Amino acid sequence: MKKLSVGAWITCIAAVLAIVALFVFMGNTGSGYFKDNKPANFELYVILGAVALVGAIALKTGVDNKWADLAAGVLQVAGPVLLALALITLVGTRVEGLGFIYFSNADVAKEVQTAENLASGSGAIANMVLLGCATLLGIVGAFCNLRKKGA
Amino acid sequence: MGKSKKLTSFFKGMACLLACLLVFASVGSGIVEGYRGSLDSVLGTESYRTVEDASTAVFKSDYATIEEMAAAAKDIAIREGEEGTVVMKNDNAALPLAKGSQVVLFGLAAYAPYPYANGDLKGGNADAVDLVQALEAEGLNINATVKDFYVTNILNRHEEMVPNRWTGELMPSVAYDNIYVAAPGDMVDYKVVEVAPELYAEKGAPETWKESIDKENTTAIVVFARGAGEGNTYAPGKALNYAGEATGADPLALSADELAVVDVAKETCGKVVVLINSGNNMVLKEIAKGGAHEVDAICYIGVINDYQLTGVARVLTGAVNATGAMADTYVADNASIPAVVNFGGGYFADYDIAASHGDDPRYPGQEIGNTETGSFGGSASYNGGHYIVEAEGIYVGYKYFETRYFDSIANPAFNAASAKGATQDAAWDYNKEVLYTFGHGLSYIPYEQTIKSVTVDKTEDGEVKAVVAVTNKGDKDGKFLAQLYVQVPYTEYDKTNLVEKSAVSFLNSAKVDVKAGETQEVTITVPAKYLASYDYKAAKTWILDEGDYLFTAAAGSHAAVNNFLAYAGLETDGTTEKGEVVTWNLAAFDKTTYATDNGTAVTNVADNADLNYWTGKDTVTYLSRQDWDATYPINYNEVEIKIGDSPKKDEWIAQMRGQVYTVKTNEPAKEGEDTGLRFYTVNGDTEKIGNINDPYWDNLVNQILIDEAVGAVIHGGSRSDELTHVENPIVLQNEGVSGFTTGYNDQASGKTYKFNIHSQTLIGSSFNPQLAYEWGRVEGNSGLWIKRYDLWGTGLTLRRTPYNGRNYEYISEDPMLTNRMGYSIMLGCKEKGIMNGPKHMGFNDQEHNRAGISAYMHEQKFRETDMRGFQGGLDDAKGLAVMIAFNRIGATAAAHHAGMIQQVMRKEWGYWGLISTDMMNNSYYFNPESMVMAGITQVADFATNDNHINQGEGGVDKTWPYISVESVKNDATLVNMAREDLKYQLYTFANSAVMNVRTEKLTTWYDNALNAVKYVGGIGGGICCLAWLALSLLKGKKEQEA
Repeated sequence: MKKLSVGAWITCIAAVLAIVALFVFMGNTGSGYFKDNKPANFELYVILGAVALVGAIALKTGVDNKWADLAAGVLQVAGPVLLALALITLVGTRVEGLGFIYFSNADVAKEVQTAENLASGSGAIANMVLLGCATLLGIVGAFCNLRKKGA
Repeated sequence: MGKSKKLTSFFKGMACLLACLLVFASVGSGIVEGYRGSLDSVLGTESYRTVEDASTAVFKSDYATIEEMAAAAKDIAIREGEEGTVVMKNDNAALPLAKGSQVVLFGLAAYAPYPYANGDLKGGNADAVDLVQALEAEGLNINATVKDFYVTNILNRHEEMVPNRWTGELMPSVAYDNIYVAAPGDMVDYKVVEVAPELYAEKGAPETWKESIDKENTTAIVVFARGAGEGNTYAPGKALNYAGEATGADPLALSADELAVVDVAKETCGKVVVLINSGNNMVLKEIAKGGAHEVDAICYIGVINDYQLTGVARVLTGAVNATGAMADTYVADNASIPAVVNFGGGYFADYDIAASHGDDPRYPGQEIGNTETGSFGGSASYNGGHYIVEAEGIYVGYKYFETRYFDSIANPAFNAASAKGATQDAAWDYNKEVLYTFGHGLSYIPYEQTIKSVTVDKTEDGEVKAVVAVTNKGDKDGKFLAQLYVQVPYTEYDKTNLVEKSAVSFLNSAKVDVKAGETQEVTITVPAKYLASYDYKAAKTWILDEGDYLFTAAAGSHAAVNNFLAYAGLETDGTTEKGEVVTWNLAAFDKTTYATDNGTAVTNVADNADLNYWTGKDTVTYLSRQDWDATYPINYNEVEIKIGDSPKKDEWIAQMRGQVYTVKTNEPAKEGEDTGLRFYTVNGDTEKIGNINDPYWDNLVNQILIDEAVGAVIHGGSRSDELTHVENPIVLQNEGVSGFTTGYNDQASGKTYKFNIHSQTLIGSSFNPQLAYEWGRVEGNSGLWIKRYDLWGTGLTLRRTPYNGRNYEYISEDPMLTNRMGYSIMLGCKEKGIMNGPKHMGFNDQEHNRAGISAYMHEQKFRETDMRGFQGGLDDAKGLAVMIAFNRIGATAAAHHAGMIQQVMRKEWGYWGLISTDMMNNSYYFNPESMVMAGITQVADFATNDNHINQGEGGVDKTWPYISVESVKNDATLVNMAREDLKYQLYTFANSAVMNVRTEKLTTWYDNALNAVKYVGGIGGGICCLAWLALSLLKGKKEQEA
């Protein structure tokens, strides 16, 4: 653990946020307005993204050679890209529903904005925010070396 | 070394950042494409430009300038107020009000009539006129003390900054301290907000406010309103008072607080006039004749818009004669309406039997319920277990009350005096149950309408022509309303075969200007086919019974039925003056003349809409006039009905699950191939434009790819989709029933003109098809000005009960008044090339669970009520569009109902326009293959531009994963039908003002931004990636060397 740089910790947080986002997604698609509304390959992208980030840290701290460094770098790039892909895919399948819930005409607002629908809407937004943060932190992590200097 | 390490990390980070941006931009472009219309609307950008060549335009505006256009629209709106205002009661010469009269306005709606907010229902033009302005313009003096008190202390109109739920951004919104509830919600408590006089002092009324009124010389005008809206349904018995306490009363009845306002008006003013500002029938027993709070006069002013109040004021002051008539029957208690008995709906005892526990082959392993989902989606459900039984049959509104009244005198054996349906006494009594019947409306100037002659051309396209003499018996020139009614024979055949006949049926009406003391003749025509009745049991087609057909001209349905009674030598209730009757005799029973329509044999298409079809026994007894007592409806939601007990259980469950059509696997479809034919080549080719059977159309659509053919129908969206190999126009759909909600921005003056200034309610009560036609032309012209051509611009569902939240969008309880108004509006629009689609065809009789409720009925009701309301616009006028209702007809979703859409509309009526669904909100309810096969040309699934069925995981459809190119390519029937549906769509476009323009795609700033990000992300990312790899490898080499 002592070998981990600030960049590694940021990457680690990104991976954790991605996993949390995955759990939020499962809750959000388990009931309510977005029940069973699962974008294609979403879970796969998130899991692979998180695994890539964790894998990068493991490689960088566990193995000390040129090829391991290179592989870790590739994973540092791939992780956020996969999370970005998950995020934009999620956005694509949530825009219509969120528009429905939050921007329907005033005369139908009572019916649209039920507690269940609003919970689904805020769940979807939380899902996107978490993934957005995970992606952003992953990108920031990619600018950093994962191992402390001289460690 | 340190610098090299930093550079390596920098390039790695940049590669990651730019790759992420590339992903966002690439996938985001697809998303943006789907929501381009909405984005443009929010950002003020333009993705498409319509280019018009005025010299070749087929459809041209009747107006040379936008000012002329606006003036014409305003004129129609004012005339809607003039001709639609109904004087329901006028005693003690309360009306008209003399110019210079003193008036006091009471009631919240007097200062903020419904609707007070601009939107779908109201244009919101800068020169809109409110009631105060309108009355003052007509020379009335409004008591300032009361006005100021109401406006400042009670209503206190202000803007509130309301946080947007999503963004949190504060947005201005019109608000009042006290205002009636504009959206009643869905069968929930309804608070009747009216400030009772006992609270005036508390609200800061001047102590001397009563003294500011000269009682003897002042008339009170009290205005009461009820709101409405999409997804809203009133709940009987769910009223709350101003204090928020449940009263158990009907929310449409005047509340104690409202009656207290009436009382204080009576106390302080010499005369009291009440204006009813609502699209939902209110209960006015307390203020009607004999009521505990009786007032001098009552007028119906419907749901107003920007300019109608000018017309209303002209009626109140007598500047024009009162010519409006009731488009609905107002009763003493809504519980006396047989349709109300089954209102709201309930569940089958074992509704869950139709739920899927993983056994639906389209959704293997999925749990899908069978409960209500609400109008806007919810958990996975077929929503087929919730139902109403429309056991009243054809007896909707006055057809029930007047027929029962007729039988109470003419046919004592029919048990009309039974207690069933009686709310005012132990035995049913027409004059106690009905306050103001359909067609009732008082004229200021005395007049007489007398039928002179009738000819009936009993052929497929024949007409009834009636000549009516209108005599002005007053000393002022004026306009008058003539109404034509018929009584068709009710024979033993009908009794045996349960063919129901109303004792009186409205046919059509006209208005005529007559000088004082003179007589004018007016000819009223109507297609003769509307004399026929549908016999769903024996002949299974339209029939005409032998016997005398009685025609009369009368000021309302009650006067008409009294004329028929008097003609038969029977005593009437004496409430109307006797009028002439002209007869037309049919010597022999005729079941052939109207058994063929448009070359198609007419026979039953909705047997399975009858609940008895499914239960296999006489579970439902439909109301029959031959025994009002034994057949009066019961609430079938209180009867235990089990799907599992049905001899057709599996078929019934399949219908509930939307399995109307099953995709075939053994009939390969031909993939579309580009033959070079293009849509725009039809421009100017009148032969092809005028003939859908021209081979051009089949050849055109046969080019469409399988993916796009099915995709464009089932993912229609709010605009037409781009079809490869066709180069079809992109046509945007527009709201709403009051006219195009999109305004016209005049760049020269900087002014914005809004043309959604029409009132559906007042056009209905105008009883003037000519005015409706003129509105249709104006509505069409406005489309040409704003370059929008596809509009959901009228509503033709019947007002079956007073509780439907969409009643304000509809015309009347009566099919023929709706039919003639729909005919006129749609004809006017069509002449200007506008695809004006009426809402919501197929029994949108309540908004409560509109997203799936099953409306069970017999086929006579199916044919003669709601369908007939739409027939004028679609069959007779050959209008260009229609929106199908959400709900089910029987167990079949209206959008899956091939019997209604294919057999009746396309074949019998020869209708070739657009057919859209209502909003696709539940993929388990709306079934794609069934909609395609029913003939839907475009599913309304919101703003996406997605005409593919391969956008989901694994290349399947993203909404219906069991649909894919793979799954439909072996069903030629389905694919060809999808192409056929698109053929109708394209043919309709070719016959519309869409041909006036060419659509050009523009590149917006956000397109440029996305493209820039893509290029920067792609190229920059690649360079950074290479730089990072090079530095990494170089570093490794140097370390090795070191």
